Amino acid sequence: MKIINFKQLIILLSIVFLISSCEGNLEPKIFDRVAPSNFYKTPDDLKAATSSIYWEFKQTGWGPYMVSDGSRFIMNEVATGEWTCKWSWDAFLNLNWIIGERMAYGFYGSMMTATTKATYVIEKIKESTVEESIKSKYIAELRCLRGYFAADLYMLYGPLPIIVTRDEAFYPTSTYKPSRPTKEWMASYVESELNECSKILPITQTDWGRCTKGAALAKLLKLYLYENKWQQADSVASVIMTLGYQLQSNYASIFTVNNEQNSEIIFAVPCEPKDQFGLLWFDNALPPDFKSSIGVNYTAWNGWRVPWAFYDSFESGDKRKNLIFQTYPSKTGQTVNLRTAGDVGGLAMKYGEDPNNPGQWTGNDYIQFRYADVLLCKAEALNEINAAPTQEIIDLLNQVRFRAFDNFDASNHKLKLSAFTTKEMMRDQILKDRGWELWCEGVRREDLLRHGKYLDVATSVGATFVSDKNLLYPIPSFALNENPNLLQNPGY
Amino acid sequence: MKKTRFISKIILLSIFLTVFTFNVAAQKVTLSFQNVPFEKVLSAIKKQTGLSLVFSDQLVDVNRIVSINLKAGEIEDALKQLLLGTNIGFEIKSNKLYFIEKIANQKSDTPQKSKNISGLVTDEKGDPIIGASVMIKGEKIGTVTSVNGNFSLEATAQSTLVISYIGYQFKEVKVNNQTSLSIILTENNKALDEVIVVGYGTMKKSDINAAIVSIKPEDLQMNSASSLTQTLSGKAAGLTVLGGSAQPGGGQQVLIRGAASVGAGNDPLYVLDGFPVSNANIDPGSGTRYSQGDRNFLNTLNPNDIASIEILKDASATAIYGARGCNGVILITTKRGSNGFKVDYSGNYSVQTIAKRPLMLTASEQMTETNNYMYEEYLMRYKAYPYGTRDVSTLPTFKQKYTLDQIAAAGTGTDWYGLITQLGLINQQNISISKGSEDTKVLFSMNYFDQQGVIKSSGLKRYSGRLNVDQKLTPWLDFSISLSGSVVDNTNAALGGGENENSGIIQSALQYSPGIQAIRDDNGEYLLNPSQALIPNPLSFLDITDNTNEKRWLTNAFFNIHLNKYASLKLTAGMDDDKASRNLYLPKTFMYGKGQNGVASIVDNSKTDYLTEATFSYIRDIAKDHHFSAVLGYSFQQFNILGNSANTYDFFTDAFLYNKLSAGAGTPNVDSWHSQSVMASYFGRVQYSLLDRYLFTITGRADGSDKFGKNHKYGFFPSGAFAWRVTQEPFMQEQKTVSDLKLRLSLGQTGNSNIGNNAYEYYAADGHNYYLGGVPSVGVGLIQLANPDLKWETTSEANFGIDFGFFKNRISGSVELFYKQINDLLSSMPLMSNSILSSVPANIGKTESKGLEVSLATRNLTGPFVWNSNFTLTSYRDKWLERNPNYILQPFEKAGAPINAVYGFIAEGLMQPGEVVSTMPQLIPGQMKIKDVSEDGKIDNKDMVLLGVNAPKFTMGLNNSFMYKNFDLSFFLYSSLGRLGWSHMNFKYGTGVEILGIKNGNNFLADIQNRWSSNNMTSTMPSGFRNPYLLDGQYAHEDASYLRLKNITLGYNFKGKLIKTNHINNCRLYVDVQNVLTLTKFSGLDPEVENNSASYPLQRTFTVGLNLTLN
Repeated sequence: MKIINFKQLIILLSIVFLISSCEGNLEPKIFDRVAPSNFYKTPDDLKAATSSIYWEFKQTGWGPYMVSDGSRFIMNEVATGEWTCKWSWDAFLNLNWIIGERMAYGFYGSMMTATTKATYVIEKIKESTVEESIKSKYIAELRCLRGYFAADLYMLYGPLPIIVTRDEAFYPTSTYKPSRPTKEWMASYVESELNECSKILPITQTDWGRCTKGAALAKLLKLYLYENKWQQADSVASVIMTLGYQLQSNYASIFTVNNEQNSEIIFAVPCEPKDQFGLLWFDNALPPDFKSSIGVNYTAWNGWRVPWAFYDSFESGDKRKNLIFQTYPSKTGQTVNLRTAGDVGGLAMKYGEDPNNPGQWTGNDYIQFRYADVLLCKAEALNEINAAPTQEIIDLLNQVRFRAFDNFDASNHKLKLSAFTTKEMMRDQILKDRGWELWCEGVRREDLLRHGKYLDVATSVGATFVSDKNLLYPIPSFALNENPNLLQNPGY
Repeated sequence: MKKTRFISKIILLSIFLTVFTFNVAAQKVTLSFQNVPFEKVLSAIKKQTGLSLVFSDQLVDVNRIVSINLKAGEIEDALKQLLLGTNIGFEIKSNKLYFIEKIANQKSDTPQKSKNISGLVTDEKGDPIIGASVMIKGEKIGTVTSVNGNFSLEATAQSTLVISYIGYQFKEVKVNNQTSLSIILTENNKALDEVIVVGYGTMKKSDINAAIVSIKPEDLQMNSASSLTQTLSGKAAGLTVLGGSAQPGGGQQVLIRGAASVGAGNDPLYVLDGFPVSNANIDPGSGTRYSQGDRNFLNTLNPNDIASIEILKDASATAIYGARGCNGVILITTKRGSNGFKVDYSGNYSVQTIAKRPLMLTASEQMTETNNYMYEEYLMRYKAYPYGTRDVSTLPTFKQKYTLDQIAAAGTGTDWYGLITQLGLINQQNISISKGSEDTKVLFSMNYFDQQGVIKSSGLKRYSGRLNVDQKLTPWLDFSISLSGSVVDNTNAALGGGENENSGIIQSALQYSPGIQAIRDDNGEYLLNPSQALIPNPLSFLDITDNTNEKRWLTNAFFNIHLNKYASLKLTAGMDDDKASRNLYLPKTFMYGKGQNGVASIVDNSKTDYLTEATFSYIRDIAKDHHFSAVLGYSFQQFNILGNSANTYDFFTDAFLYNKLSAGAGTPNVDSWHSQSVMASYFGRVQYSLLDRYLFTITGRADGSDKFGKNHKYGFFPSGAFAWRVTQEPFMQEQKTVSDLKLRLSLGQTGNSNIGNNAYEYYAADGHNYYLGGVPSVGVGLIQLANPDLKWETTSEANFGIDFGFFKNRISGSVELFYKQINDLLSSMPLMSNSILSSVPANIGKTESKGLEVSLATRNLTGPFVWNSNFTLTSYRDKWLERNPNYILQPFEKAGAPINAVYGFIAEGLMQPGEVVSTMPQLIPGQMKIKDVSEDGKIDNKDMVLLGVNAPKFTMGLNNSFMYKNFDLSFFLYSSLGRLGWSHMNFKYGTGVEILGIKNGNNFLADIQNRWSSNNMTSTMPSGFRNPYLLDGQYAHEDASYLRLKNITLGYNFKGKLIKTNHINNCRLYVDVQNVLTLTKFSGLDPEVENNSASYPLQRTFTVGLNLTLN
């Protein structure tokens, strides 16, 4: 064997050197992500960061402001008498919330984080070098979003240590273990946030779906009611009534896909008939053999029902009841009568069928607030403020009832002040009217709580584990475990 | 000249006798050499005569200095002259020159009557052994076998013949009255001269001072296995194979020395022919709710190509792989071409049945139990006995949901599980061709593997090919290349243990009502159960088209430059290009295809790694007693992951499947991704052996990675080892009992950097889009927080080992004891649940692992009936030592708990009527009582206690192989002891949670007929009414220890004239059964592979196969 010569050795050493030169400075290359040094620099960056907070409403379509388990909707409908579910959600439906089911903790899990995310984006935008006017537009929207998240967390779980300051949002640690704030702090924080952003937000936005002045004020109105701050509620309602909203003449048309963005809607989550962007309303409500009148091939999970007791509570001739189906056409050409078939209730066909829905995801915008609710809230606030029922209250109710009946003015459905001699009688009427007008719109639990009736109603609809604890949802166990300063709600 | 000790040992070991050269029988030679190594003269003879040389270099010292001067002389004369004064003789036959041991064939003077004994010595395959020594015991009389393996010598009837040959077990045979003997020698696998592969080199087994296990493919039952790891369990002490999926090509968790890393993974590093393969699974998801299951990343590797597997266990062995060595290293070496020509064929067919299938209620039983359930509900509603005090006779009449006539008419109903399962079938064909000369050696192989799974619509097909070439370019330069390509076509069944709308095919079949008929309606859709409206019909899953196609191309090329007699430089360049594509179509006849009018999705994912390496080796003997070797190297590896996906929906026809996405009227979704990371490393190893007795090794590696912050880019991992070969000491030479004894000690550090991408802060557009103004607005959010202080996870390990052999290695084995501590555990630190992100990459604490490993090989019987046994035992314990004080523990977790801790409640039996359970006020009779461990008067997660560990305390493997005449038989027993398991199946389909769904037609296990009820109050099975205290913690854990007869193989070797005259070297026909029998107290389907309530069932596999070698 020949021994290698010097020249060959030089060549070899150069090869070795060449190989080792690939090493570079060992900086990571992630081509599909944005480095912090490249973001929050342009108006488009700010827009994209803001959109990611809007996304929290619907998330992947099963989100906290949509209609699946863990949503505000389900939590505000359970055991209210106007909604029930046929799936084996027994513990939840029976108000036995001691166990860690997603129905009880899902909203907390999503929205505590979403609140922090909103704070993060607000603070990042504040520090951005983009033009002030653009910054303030997005900040106002984000404060409104954060106000929504915080207000609902408060009304579902009570006061919570939400993260609203820069350093806590930017530099999370596992040692930050705050106690629960007082009820007063949380309520007044959310009130002032919604109030302040409502002053900056425009009455209408060119992009449908963005927060408006009306959206911020509507949530503020709900919060004032929850807090029994009737005077403030009344004045906020009055402001909203100046913003140009109008009742639709036809009740069903509020919810149809071809009448989206109508003047009754104050705020909605825009939906498209597309995976993750649609509303799962029909899927939850319909039985599998339901035959669509417009040929939609529904995914049907046969879950929701509107109980017969509520169905039967409507005054005769109320057209709003027509959106609850007692019978439906089946695919085999028969008419199925749910009541005679022994089912627990009718079908909640509140939203109009979307012809573009391929089956699962329907494109109806999911309404968060509409003008009729504001009118009824105003009526309620006035009734609490005044010593006795007034004609203004009656007028507000009749304004909403008008479209529900044929020949309303001549009918006995038109309310008369003389029939309501006491504040309590008026209060009961308002609660009934709210149910008939706003059934299955995710407001009922708040209404019943305000009237001190939630626990009674829950018991009367058959929930077996009702107690004072049910006035608030339980703080999830994962949150208690990580933070001993976070105290559980009473009764859990 | 002696190239390197290693390389010559390879030659020496490969007592492959076949070196074909041209048949030029020149018998005259001209040789003129002065003081040169014998090797040089031999190569001259070879060149001039065309003879091939066949010898063992145990016998022939090729470095002996010789001189010769001969012109056109006879070769016999030349050889006689050259071999003068040695004990070596020679023989020339069939163009081969054999060197054989010359044994003085002295006549004995003893008066005993001696007779002429003749015999034939063959190996187990029946091939003659040439040059085996045949001695009469106790005398200096003997001979060697001829080229035909024959011998003859004079011996008395009382004599005992001792037959020995290198690499084989020696054998003693009594002569008695025989005159013609047939002797079979058994190959000695455990020969100390065995060369085993280590990181960046090879080593003689006797020189090893680290903890390394070498496995030969013949020890693994790979007949019906789609990948290597399925066959490893119980075969190597220290290696544990856990759980995984029983689906075709299913993945297992392979652990070397436990699982003490908590966040950075416990997967060993796989090195395939020198290429460190990253085992990132690139199997794409589909964007639907259905899992393709868990597949093995080694499915692309043809197991038949494997020549050897080395498991590097301790820090001394793995430190050369530095930051990737902490979980052990599995070195896989593929077969290479050898001298001569050889064709190996193997083929087998297998049939698979489900080892244990769940027994569900029939339709009529389901209806009866529904009535019974509702009767209990009725008693509860009226608070009647046993749920209250009211007398049943005072209640309104109970109305049965189903009448007796309806129940009788329902019969057994539909057996959904039966309808979605089938006989599994495997067809495997493998061919490998090897051809080689001194300069060029080529191996080419092809494999076809086709498996139809026992769950309909699951399957795997593999086509793979390999080309390994070794080429001598010049005397100082060799070139080698390993090329392999494979295509794996997986058909995916919709697996997964999701609930309701997420139910896969198995889940659906288990819970679907037996009262629904398995037929399609007029629209071509299977009938649905309206009260199980979230769950697709089990058979409708079979309408889904879901395939994953994986293509892998692994190339590794080496230049080996022999710089001088001591030093060489090896340059390596390689590429591992792995692409997987998943194509899925959910048709309109399937519930979730119907909802979107047909859904099509394509996801392509690819991983491409590039490797360049340079290693410099130096080997030198200084004087006789000092052997010195060193390796220094540099390695650079780049990892790229990229891919894209597209999906859409709303198709006017199902006919296109995923082949025409633009025909979908829905809004398409597209995405792509790309990341890159690098690792740059410097490594070295120095070995020194003194007197062949005292062995020292020092190893170190410095790794640089782009995953860490500025201060921690580089990590250094050193190790050292010492071994003492006691049997080499002079004082051990007299005794006969201990044939081998080596004590080993090693210490060292290795690392782990496996934290996904890196520790930097990023924003991403991860689909957080929202419709604003009628158009989707892209959302961008923070997805990772930075941790500039993040550093490598470091494992410090000490190992003590003993290798032993007794009675001439009839019993041999090793024992290892290890202790390791892992510092700076890499994981993600959970942040408070209200933080912007749920975690941040962090070093979160310290764990330890200690263990014991035993391997034992015994030759129980030799002679015509051979019986060998191999036993392995693995035991380890992992536990926490320290946790980052900020790490939030659950209230029941203890700081120093085992890593695989299982926490749960303590069950205290069922509540009986009249009983008061003050800690569980909502409990009703028939529900499980839970012990109030915290004694705080209520049941919550503070009452959970450490029940055990979810990892076996002991795993054992015992293989027994027998050989008699043409038959061979082996069986393999595997046992796993001390693991706590949980039958997900019994829990979900028994009364573990609740059986409320029975009212909707949901099916349950037939077992629930024995549950507690008002008619069966002695039962210990809960009543099936949901216990409100049990969702957070479980009491259903049970001992999942088991003993499994994993395998029985019976083979027959064809021998005789027909075989020999048709160039057939070997022909073996065998039958094989896998998973024959399992003994366990575990109540579920399987103690090993039951990982969710719809786990893929374990199969019993029956195989018939043929192995054929032609030359």
